[in-house]
Amino acid sequence: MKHGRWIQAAACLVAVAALAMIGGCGGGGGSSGPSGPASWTYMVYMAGDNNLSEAAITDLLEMETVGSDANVNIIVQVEFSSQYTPGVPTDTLRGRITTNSNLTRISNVDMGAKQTLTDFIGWAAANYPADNYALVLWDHGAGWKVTRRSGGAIRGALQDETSGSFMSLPDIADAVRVAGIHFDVINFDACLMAMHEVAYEFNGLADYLVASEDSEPGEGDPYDRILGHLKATPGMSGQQLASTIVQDYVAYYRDNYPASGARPIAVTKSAIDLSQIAMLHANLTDLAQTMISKIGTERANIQAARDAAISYDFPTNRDLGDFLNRLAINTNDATLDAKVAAARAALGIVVTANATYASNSAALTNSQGLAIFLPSLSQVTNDELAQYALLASSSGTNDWADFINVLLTGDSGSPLEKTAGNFVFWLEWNTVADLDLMVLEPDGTWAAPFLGSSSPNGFLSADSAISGVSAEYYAAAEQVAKGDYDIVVNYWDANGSTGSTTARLYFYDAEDPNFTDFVEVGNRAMDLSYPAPNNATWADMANDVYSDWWIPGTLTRTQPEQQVQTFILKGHTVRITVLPDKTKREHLPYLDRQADTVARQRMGRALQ
Amino acid sequence: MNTLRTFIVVMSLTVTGCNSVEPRTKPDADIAALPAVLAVDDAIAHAAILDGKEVTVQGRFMGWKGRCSGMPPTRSAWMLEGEHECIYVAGPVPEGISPAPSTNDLGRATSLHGTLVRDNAGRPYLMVH
Repeated sequence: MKHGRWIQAAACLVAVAALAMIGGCGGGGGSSGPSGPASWTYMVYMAGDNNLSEAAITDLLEMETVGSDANVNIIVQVEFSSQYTPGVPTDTLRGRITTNSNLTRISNVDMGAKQTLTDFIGWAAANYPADNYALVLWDHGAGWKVTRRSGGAIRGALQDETSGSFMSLPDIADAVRVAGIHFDVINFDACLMAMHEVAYEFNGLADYLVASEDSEPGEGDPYDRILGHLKATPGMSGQQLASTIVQDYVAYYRDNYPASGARPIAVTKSAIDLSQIAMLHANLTDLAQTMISKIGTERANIQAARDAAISYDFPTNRDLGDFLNRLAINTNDATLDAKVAAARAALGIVVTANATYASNSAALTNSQGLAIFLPSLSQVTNDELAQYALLASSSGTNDWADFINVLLTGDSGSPLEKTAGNFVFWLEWNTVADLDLMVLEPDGTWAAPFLGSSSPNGFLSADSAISGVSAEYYAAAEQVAKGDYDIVVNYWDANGSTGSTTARLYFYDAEDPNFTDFVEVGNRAMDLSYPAPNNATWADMANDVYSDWWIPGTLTRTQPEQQVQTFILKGHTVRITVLPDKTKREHLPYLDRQADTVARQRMGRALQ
Repeated sequence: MNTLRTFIVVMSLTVTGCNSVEPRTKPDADIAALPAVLAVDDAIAHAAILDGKEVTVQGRFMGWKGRCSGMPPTRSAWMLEGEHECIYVAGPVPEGISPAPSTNDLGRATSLHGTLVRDNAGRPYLMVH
């Protein structure tokens, strides 16, 4: 039972002062292990400094019910979140799990850094040598997907919220590679990691990879069952342990979430023979080349197979086996059919164990153990495709990544055409006058606090007329439409103040490592002494002809996310350029007084 | 003693407290009287009568970093915050945003349609597809 009531009951009886005792432990490397090599050292790297902190606690409890013995070492390195589990020490803990464990504090390390993982593996192997090694990577997981924050790095799993890190898939593989330990089993106790792209990244680093195609429930692996079986049969092989994890995982959820239960649950887990992953990859490359060459006649069949294949929390993750089966049914091309058959056979060899359970449907019966990136045009961005091309599995010629690009050219609809956002414009002024910050987004949509709290590309502060604060901001979403973001400021109402006010615009770009804080990019004195007439042009306004309008500049967001973006600002040395003329700028809503008035009435503001 | 079990037990105290984790609900509310689009606070307040029902809920996207507490329904579940309450959402995030490590998406106004479900501890969450 994951959440025994005894825990809560006991907790109510245990003095909180016990927390202080945790801090008393220090020094070396945790409890001592057996004198000679064990059969297995089961390493668990738990990046729990995030919203999964409570799940880390329950999983540790499960491990402790089993505990290490002379044959099986259960070695953990774990970090918790003081936000989600208040009162816990923020230091990283490591040590050997027994039924009465004593973990050691090793300061607060960055669990999302690859060197930390390398260090843990090295320490565990040196202090608890064994004939066989398993490594559990415990945390959030996101397959191969891209993070928009760290300069285009590729995300994998293992988040440390305090350190602001999320280890990329290549970094995880590098960490294992550098540690120099060949694992019998690497088990992702994380979401969405059973992907061909993930498995290929670990080619040569382990014998078996265990992971889930779908998201994992918060409880994750049932450590008491898995480790109980390992202790009972310490002579099991890597393949047997991988299969045991798969079967125990699904059995746990089948036992605890019956079909008649109120809470629906759906789980997948599979074991991948990494010694065969290159063989599968070669077959997929052959298939990709054939699909590329046959795209003129087979596009519709391929698209239909893709769109019907089961997907997961990332809709672009399609089950490879389901896709192949459907393509085999759809196509009448003998060459393509042969390649599909070969890929299906290879998949059958690579997936050595696969189990699924859905408590209220048969939704996962087509999950065959390995997903692959297979997007439709409307699901993917060019940046995402560029990042995908950087994976080890995309390093060939006419490979799966190339096939995706060819397939997408025939999809209906339009691509997301988004790029990294994460920038903020902050306007503030020094009187009680009513100023409005407005942003003209690439598709011609106006975003402004007085128009609402969100736009297609970002969200906005409260209207200063409502908040009473002489400041407004526009914060871009993590991904935004490519194009120009024109920044416009309007002095709307003196609001009882006299004289001019100085408006200052600040900018922050989280995608640009040069920004550590907001930077002032311009200022202007504004008032109502020379307001713009209804027939004012954008050019006049951009040239500061009128005292109530200020157009500080344009942010052009068109480059791939890892490149520094450009902020264009007239009259300043930081990213200056001349504003290009654009038709859309001739239609400023503020020059349409009726629309403007309607918008302001909706905000409950007084009419001018 | 400075054992892991003591450590975990004390942490469990801080996580779950000694009180029930059952959310405050209003079981006598009339489901037909609820608005078509629910605020997060309302969805949680009326979780008892909305259990298993399809709902549209509006709140602010908070990715993996927000006020929701306890174990999430899935490790990919993300948070939707209301004025006072927070609810986990299991399923894909809205198009164009990412659950973590999110930056400016945090706080973005979001509405979504899904099924309200309660976990084994009675905490409501949303399932979306």
